[in-house]
Amino acid sequence: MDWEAIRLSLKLALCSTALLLPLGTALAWPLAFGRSRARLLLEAATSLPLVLPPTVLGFYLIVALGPRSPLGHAWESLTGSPLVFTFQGLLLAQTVTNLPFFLQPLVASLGGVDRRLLEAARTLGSGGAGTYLRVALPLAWRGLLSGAILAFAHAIGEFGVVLMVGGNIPGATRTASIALFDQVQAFEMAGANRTALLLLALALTVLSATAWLRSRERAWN
Amino acid sequence: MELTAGFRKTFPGGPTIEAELALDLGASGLTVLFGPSGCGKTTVLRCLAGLETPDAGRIAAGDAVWFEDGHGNAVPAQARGVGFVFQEPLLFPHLTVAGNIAYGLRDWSRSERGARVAAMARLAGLEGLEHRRPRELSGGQKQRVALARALAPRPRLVLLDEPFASLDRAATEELRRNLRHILHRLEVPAVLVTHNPVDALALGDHMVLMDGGRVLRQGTPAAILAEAGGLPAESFGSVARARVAGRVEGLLRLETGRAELYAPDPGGDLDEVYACVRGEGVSLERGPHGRMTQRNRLPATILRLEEAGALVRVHLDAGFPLHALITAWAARDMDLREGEAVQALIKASAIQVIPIEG
Repeated sequence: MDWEAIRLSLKLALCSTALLLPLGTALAWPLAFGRSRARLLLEAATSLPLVLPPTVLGFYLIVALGPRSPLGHAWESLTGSPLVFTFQGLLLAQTVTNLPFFLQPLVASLGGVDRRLLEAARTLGSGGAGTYLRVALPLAWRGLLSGAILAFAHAIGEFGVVLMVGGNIPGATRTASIALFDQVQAFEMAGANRTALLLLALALTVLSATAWLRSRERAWN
Repeated sequence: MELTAGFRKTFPGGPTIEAELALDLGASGLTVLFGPSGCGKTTVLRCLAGLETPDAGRIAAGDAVWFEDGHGNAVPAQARGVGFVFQEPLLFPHLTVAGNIAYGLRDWSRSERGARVAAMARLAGLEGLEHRRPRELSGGQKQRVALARALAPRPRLVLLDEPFASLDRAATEELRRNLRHILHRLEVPAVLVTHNPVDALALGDHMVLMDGGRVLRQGTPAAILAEAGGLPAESFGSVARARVAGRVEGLLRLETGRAELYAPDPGGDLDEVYACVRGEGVSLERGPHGRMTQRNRLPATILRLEEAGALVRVHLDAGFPLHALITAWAARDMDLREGEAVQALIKASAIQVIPIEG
């Protein structure tokens, strides 16, 4: 088994989930409680990775992270190394790709929070951010947790975007799903079997955990 | 400082609510917003709190303009310093009792916050429950936490939207007593929305009568409730001023004009009281006029019959204005007509006695 690839997959998934926590939590606020039309655009934009082919998403990410893009250029002049085909570039790409998996359960949970509790918080002096952080988010913690778990699980298995943006560099961008692809290409069926089984078991565990969390969603009441 | 409010609010497909109010925020005391369900009382309260934005008008507290035409809510709800107690407790389920009370004290120092929470818990009779979660409390306890939570940050005004609506009768009585005590102790002015004259008489210093989205009259609760025919169309019963004439077998003997009533004894030293009679507890009988041998059997004259869905409200003169709420078929069977003499039988349990103070 390619333990280096599995370790890299886990590291990548953990780091991208860690990035998603603050970013996704901030984006979930307008998505759950916003009233302007811009909310609809934001909802569509953050859901794009769900429907776009990974190759299309990967292509745009290469463009956005490449040395000729403002981001890629700034990164390169700051660190001396490019973003594409590196762990850092892959991490950014994974974060964008997994955003909807984090957001959807969280926004659904936030939508289930009793709006009158938020009104009560306002009459006690809480502004929008205070009410979100002190009332809405703690009450939607199951959504937050299942979002984080789903994003983590999806990050481990992501293939297309990783291949497009990261390539296949052992120790840097060669994740478990890429290693599996290589094993199949080289007819190492026994190794492929073990890698596939590990990824399957991981996904099943994670989905069981989120299903359990959702079944207990109403436990506050 | 005075809170002045004159505004209009229309809900899509709903009625237009108009309010014209002036409240003295310098003085403590409780103003009752009184009227039938759906007359706009809650909307008025929500506009004052900043939870709803009026369509037009102006709301100002002293020099500070909270709302003005074309400027929206100049001061948002969280900056008005107005406490709000809702019909349901709406406690934060993820926080303990102490955490709920402390919610509005974020900017206080740790020691001040702890002292304030302890003081509010004591005042609201919640000692020993500080570490409980809301789901572990009774309905009455929850609403007392909601009251303590609203009052803890020292609001300049507290708004109470039918705070007894979700409680049973015993819990209502208890909270009503607590409320009076707590508001007096903290000397915070309050506005209470209710359609129950018992709340108005027991708690109110001033009363604003609303119906059909408008303010009809303002005055003392007793004066407004005593006016015959001046009450909104919805059922809540009638109110009579009475003198306590004695105590008989656990019941209070009351004299109201020409009639005598027996009612449950609230205890304590009583002289003059209000007797509030629920309309469902009054039944009518035909019979000879003038006998007063049986308890709570009053000779009365039918002033007016008013249909209210499957029920008929019978406006009576029994020495005081009395309302009976009977089924439409009973009214038909008895062939009740305006101007006729009947006997009104009042269940003792349908009478609530409220002491008149001072």
